[in-house]
Parts: sequence; structure tokens; C-alpha cells
Amino acid sequence: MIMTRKDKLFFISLLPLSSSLLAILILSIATIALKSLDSLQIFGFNLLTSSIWNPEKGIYGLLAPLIGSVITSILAVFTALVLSLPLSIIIVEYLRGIVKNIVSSIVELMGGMPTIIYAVWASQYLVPFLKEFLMEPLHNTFKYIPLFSCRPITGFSIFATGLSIGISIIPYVTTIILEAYQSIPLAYREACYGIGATRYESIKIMLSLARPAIIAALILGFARSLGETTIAAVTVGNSMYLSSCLFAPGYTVSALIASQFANAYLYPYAESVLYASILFVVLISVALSFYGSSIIIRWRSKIVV
Amino acid sequence: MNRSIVIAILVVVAIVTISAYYILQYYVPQAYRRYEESSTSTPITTTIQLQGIVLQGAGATFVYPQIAEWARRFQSRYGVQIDYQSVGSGAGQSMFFQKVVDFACSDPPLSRENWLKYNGSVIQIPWLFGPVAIVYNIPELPRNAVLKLDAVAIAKIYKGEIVYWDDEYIKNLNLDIAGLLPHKEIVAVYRSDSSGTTELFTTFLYKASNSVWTKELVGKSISWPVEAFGRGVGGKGNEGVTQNVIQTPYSIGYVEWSYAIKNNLSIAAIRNAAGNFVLPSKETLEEALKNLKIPSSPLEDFSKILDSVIYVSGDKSYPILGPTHIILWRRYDDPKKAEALKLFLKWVAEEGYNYVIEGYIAPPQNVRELLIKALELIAS
Amino acid sequence: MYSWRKIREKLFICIIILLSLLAIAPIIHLVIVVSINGIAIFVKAGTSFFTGLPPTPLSEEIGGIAPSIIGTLLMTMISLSITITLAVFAAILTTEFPKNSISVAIDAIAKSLASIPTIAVSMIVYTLVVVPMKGFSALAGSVALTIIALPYAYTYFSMVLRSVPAIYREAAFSVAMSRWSAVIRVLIPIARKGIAVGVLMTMARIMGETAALLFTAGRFRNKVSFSPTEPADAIPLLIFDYILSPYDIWHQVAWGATALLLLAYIAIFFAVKLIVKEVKL
Repeated sequence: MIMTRKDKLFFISLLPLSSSLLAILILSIATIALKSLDSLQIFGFNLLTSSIWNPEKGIYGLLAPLIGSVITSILAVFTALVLSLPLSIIIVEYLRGIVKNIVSSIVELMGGMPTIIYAVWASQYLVPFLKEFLMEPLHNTFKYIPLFSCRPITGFSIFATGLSIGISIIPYVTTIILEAYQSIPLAYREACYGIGATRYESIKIMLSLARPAIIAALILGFARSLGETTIAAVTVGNSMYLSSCLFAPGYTVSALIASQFANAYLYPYAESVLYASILFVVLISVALSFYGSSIIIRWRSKIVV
Repeated sequence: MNRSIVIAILVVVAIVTISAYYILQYYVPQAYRRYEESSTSTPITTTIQLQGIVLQGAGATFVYPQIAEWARRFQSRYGVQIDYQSVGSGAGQSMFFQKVVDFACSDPPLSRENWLKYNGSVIQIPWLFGPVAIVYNIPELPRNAVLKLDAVAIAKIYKGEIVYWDDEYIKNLNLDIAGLLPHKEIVAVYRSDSSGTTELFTTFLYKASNSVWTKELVGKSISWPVEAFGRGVGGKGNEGVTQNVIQTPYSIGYVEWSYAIKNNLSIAAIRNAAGNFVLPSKETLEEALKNLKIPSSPLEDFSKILDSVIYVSGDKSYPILGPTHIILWRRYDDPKKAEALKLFLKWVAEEGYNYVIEGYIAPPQNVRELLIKALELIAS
Repeated sequence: MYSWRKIREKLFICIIILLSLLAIAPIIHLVIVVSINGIAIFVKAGTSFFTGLPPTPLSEEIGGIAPSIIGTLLMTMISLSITITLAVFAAILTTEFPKNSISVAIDAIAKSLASIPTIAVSMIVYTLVVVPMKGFSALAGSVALTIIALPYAYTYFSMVLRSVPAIYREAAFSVAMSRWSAVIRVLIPIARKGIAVGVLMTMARIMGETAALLFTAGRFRNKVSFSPTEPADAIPLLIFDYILSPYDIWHQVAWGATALLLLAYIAIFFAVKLIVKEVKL
């Protein structure tokens, strides 16, 4: 893009504050990297190949938490997508006036609920409910699929965590989709109805216009699920056992830190290993974000509003 | 038109905020003073210069409720405030050594390496003790029945070797209710996070189970053998284990006594070194602490203390309990802080132990003497 | 063909109604649970809930959560101002210069920042702020909250600014407005409802964040403190500590605090939404 002198001045005036974002991230990653250096030097890639937490003997392996983090985040984003998209469509298309205001306000409000409350609610109400009405039936009918092959004893599992985190990010994703949807200019909606599309078809078309925003919200949701601590710590079951079944207890990186950081100082390398796990999670997320951002930018240039 | 409305609103908000600030600053200390006056009748009796000092502490979650109680009473008596954060024993020690907090409370004492590193400059006292209760959830048993277990049975359960509640071994320990024990799989609940409670539990199993439970299964965070059989569940924190035991029938778990009491869990009677089955209670715990052997000076190494507290002799002594320590510096830069700390230790030794809350037990006389010795050592 | 489209339409409506109910049911249930547990406590404690100090485990009365309220207000104000400023400027930058490599970097960075576990942010801020300051403080808590809230604020604002159709910007340039004027006088006013909602959501997130304050704020509950360099407490921290303890009176205080938070959101949300008018395109 060719910038005139005024453009350049504008750009430079925006730069200092914006690059503080960059500075914060670099500072954080630098701190994490420095603190994880010890364990990386000693354990190296062994941390990625095994799944053990034994600080007394000094053996660590982070495979279960890392896989658990990724899988719960995928589940959470999937849940959020499946549930918030219909919700936003209903709010925009089918509700009017004060009902619409109330419903959308409730949804936005829930975005601010402290995650500890979600966690307590999930562990006391949601997980037993899921165990009885979702996990056990699935287990009984689909026993032969390895994903459902283990019997849920308490319900605390990767599946429960994925769903709980998904429910907790519904408000945010819904609000973003709402905003994006509402700001599609009237002209497009009129055009759709003008050629005789049904409601369903015109919604489909308008959603595709809002797609970049939706994808952005989902990527953020994925990142947020990777970092979600309190809910994961309480619902994931906290087991280093790596199993292919969704209903078995597992671990996520944030739950691992929440459980083990308190006493990590008492062992020589435990703290450093925990920082290393954060580093791995952040690296995964950075890679994903860059990829996602480039897709969005490509899409955005195609849609001229 | 629009802009002036916005400006007007901003001005109103600013006025409201500033006036709220001043009102609260004036009103809240009033309310607080009223609160403290109503909670105790003894007047503030210390030198004025110590009022307003804040002591910062951090460490184990175990001791937090007790410190909250003590801090409130100490504050209304002397005006010194104590701020405690339950971040965990390890994090507490780390913050203490980084001088971010003034004292640390840690379930395990300083490890031998750490103690050697700071020898002479740190003081530790095991100022409070608390038992670990074995809790269970067997719907078939009536409320007043007490399950009896010994270390061998518990060890085998957590190793996965005893599978059903009506196993012969458990039946032999419980001849009176043997018929009621169901043929159901035992779900063993353990702590998934690193915890001093786990250390007490596993140390007891190691000491008392005649090599069924091996030394390498002792620690704050271990891999539980029963997990491999699919009958183990990890709970986060005492509240996690409590919830798991409540929600899962046929489960067994170990928690701090206060959680068992407050949540009405069924507690098992454990066989002690003298062969009797005892439940945790004030008498059985005091009995266990009667012969407590501790070093004579707070400057010494306490890393072997668990040995003399768990599974000790005594007809009525409860076998599973452990200390929590307070760790202080010998020298403080701020003379007022040193004074305040000394006052706090003195108050705890003389009065604090009258206000021990449910779930904890005051230490025996030799520990109180240690406290007095410690406060003589603190200087600035 | 015609009837098949009709069937698809009806099917569509049924499915999305079902899924929306499924989506909103947990939320409604949560609100009900919080209200039932919390409002009763409120009524029992009366106005002293706002001005008193938290109870000790042995006490009989509920006391209050004044230190936490003030701490939350203080940290929210500091953190919100920093977050909104940074996020708005970054959003303007990426909207005005979308293809610039710095914009792409900022976009990706904002997302990556969100994936740091919230407890890790607390650990990092502990190392960077608390240890050099040799003490916990509301300032450290605010820094941690800012780091956590930035990605959400940025994503929301950038989406809001982007949804203003380009035609308005072109109109602004055609009357020879400078770029800054175009942004401040045209873009932001058109998007003002969205920006207001963004500020609200960020504020709600900041007020409700728990794990970030675990190692930074200090949990100072004995006194109401207004200074940013002294240890402070926050409502979510109080809820976290108390609800995981075995004592019933502390559970009650925790639920009361949650209900208080929920009511505060409702009040502020409705106030702002009434004031800021939406611009229909």
C-alpha cells in the first residue's frame, strides 16, 4: 500500500501504543522461556514423549496434559459453535423489541461471570447431569468405538471439561457473531429477499459475509480454552493416564499447573517443567493463530463491503 | 446536543465516584471499628507504634482458616494486621525466601538441603497439628456403624489388590457388620494435586503396612497403582476428594479432618500401633502428641519430624496426623515488624491455643516452649 | 422443489430453536442457582454486606466484603483504562492498515496472548512485578488483568471497527478530512454502540477474572485499602478462597458475593445500553 506522508504520520502515531501489545507478549514469552530453560536442557524432548508426573523421583513427561489441552479446546470450540450460532441467529432474526434486548443482555452478562462460579456449577450440576444423560447412554450404545469405550465413574473427564469450557465461552462467541451479523448492511438482506430466497437461505448467505468475524471469534475461543484454568482444574479428573477414551479422566496444562504449582518449589525441576508446558501450549497457539489470521485476512480482502 | 449530554453524564459520573471515594474512606473504617468493638471487650493494649503494621504471610491452605480466626482476634487486641495467602506450602516457601512475605506456613518442614543453605538464619516451629481422616461412602451401612480398617487393608485397596468391599480381609476386621458389606468395587479417591495430606497418608501406609506399601510410593504427589485398574479417581484439593466421595457410592478417600466433619462424611476407625481401632478426636490426637520428639531449638533441622508423629505408640493415639510449620527469619530489617512478629508468637503461645477451631489440634507443651524460645531469637 | 424448500425452512427453524434453547438453558440455570444461593444471603446480611469485613470460620454473622468490593473497583478501573486504550489503538491500526505486516503480527499476537493459561499470567506478573516490588499490590493485579483482557478487547474492537462499511470512510476522505479526523469523527461514532458493548464485556471479564489474581493481588481482607501499591483483595478471589473451604459460613459469603457481582453487571449493563444509542446502517 502506498502511503502518503500524512498516512505515514498516522501510522507512526498509532505505533507506540499498539506495539506495547507486542512488547507484552515478548516479555511474557521471554519470562516463560527463561524459566523453562533448566528443564528443557535436562529433559529435552523426553517431556513430549511420555506422560508421568513424579517429582519425588524427578521424572516428568507432559504428553497427557498437552494432548488433553488440545482436545478439550477442540471440543469446547465445537460446542460453542454448535450452540452459539443458532442462538445468535434466533436473537437477530426471530426476536423483536424488549425480548431481544433482554435475551442479548443476559448472554452478554454471562460473559462476565467469574470462571470459578462456572467451575463450581459445572462440577456440582453439569457433570453429574452429563454423566447420567449423555456419557452413560453413549457408552452403553457405542461401546465398540474406542472414543466411548471406558465407563465414566465420576463423569470428570476430558469430555466434561470440553463441554464445560464450551458453555463458558458461548456468551463471548455469541456476542461477536451478533455484532458481526447485525452490521451487515441492509442492502444484502434486501437483495436476498428480492430474489425470493427463504429465511434459511438468506441467513446462510449473510452468515458467509460474517464468516471472518466468526472464525476470529472461534480462534480466540480456542486460545481461551487452552488457557482456561479454574474450570479445567475442577472438571478434568486430573489423571496423567493417556487413554483414547473421551470419558476417562485426563489432564490439561492449566489444570496441571493449578494442581502442582503450589508445591513445585519444593522439588528441583518441577517449576521449570511447568513453565516448559506453558511454553509448548503457547507455541501451539501461536502457530494456530498465525495460520488462522492469514486465512481471515485473505477472506477479508475478498469481501468488499 | 449529543455531545453536551455525554459531557454532562461524564461530569455526573466523576462527581459520584469522587464523593463515593470520600464517603467510603470515612464510613467503612467506622463500620470496621464498630465490628471489632462488638467482637471483643478487651481494650487495645499495646504500644501505639505497633498499630497499623501489616504482617504478610503465605503458605499452606491447611492452616488458613485457623490463621483467619487468630488474625481477627489478634487484630482486635493489638491492632496489628496479618494478611495470609493460601498459595500452597511450596509457593509460600518460595515467596518467603524471595522476601515477598514476612513469614511462611508450610506443611512440610524445610528440606535438609534448604535448611543447610539457610542454617542459622531461619526459624521453624511446628505450631499446629491436624489429622487426616479416612472417609468412605457405603450406602448399605447404617449411619452409626463404624468401619474399621488398618494400614494393610488401605494399602491393598490403593494398590488395587483388594477389589470389593466384601473382601475377606475387610470382613475379618469388621466382624460385627461383615454381613452388610456389599459385593461392589471399591472406588479409591486420592489427591490429584501435590499435597501435604497425601504425604501424611502415604507415610502412614509405609510405616504401618508391613512393606505392602513401599517407600517409593511415599510423597506429596505420586502415581497411584489403583489408577491403572480404572478404579481410582483424583480429586483436586480436599474439597475435590470430599465431593468425589459424596457423589460416588462405594468410594473411599482421605481428607483433612475439618472437611470430614463439616460435610458429615463417614469416618473409618484406624488401627494404631497398639492394635486398637481409633477415630480422630481431641483425646486420641492429644494422646498421639504426648510423646512428640522435636529438636530443642527452632534453629535446628526439622526434616525428620514426620517419623515421630505418625503411627506412634499409645493405646488411644490416632495414627495419621501431621504438623504444619511456621517459618520466620531470625533477623528482620524493619524493627517494628520484628516486634509485631514476636508479639504474635507470644500471643499464640499464651492465648491463641484457646481458640483452636474444629479440625485442628493444639500442640503439646514442648512446642509452646519452642515458640517462646523462637520469639527470643527474633531480632532486627 | 418448492415444497422441499419449505420443509427445509421449517426444519431449520426447529433445529435452531432447539439448539438455542440448549445453549441458553445452562446460562439460565446458572443465573437461577446463583440467585437462589446468593440473594438469600444478601437479605440476611443487609447493608453491612457492603461495608463490613469477612467473617472468620467460627463467627456467626455474615459480615461483609467491603475490602473485596473496593479492591475489585480499584483494579478494574486501572486495568480497564489501560486495556481499552491499548485495544482501541491497536484495533484502529489494524483496521486502517490491514495488509501491513505489523497488523498481521498484532492480530496473531492478540490471539496468542489469550492462550497463556490465566494462572501462568499470574505467575509471570509475579516474577516481573511482585518480586521487584517486594510485595503484593493492586497494581500487580491490574497488570495481570490487563494482559488477560487485552486479546478480547482487541478482537471485539477490531471486529466492530471493521463492520463499518467502507463507504463512510470514503465519504470522509472525499470532504478532505485527515485520517485521524475520519477515525475520530466518523468511524468511532458510527460504531459507538459496539464499542460501548465491547467496553462492557471487557469490564465484566476483568471484574470476574480469578486465576490472574492468585499470585499478584495479595488477598488482603482485613482492611479496606485504596492505595494501588498495597496488597488488595478482589471479589472473585474471595469467592475462590471461600468456596473451596469446608466452612459453611464462608460458602454463604461466597454465594452472596457472586450474586452481588451479577447484580452489579446488570445495573451497569442496562445503564450503558440505555444511554448509548445504536446507529442503524
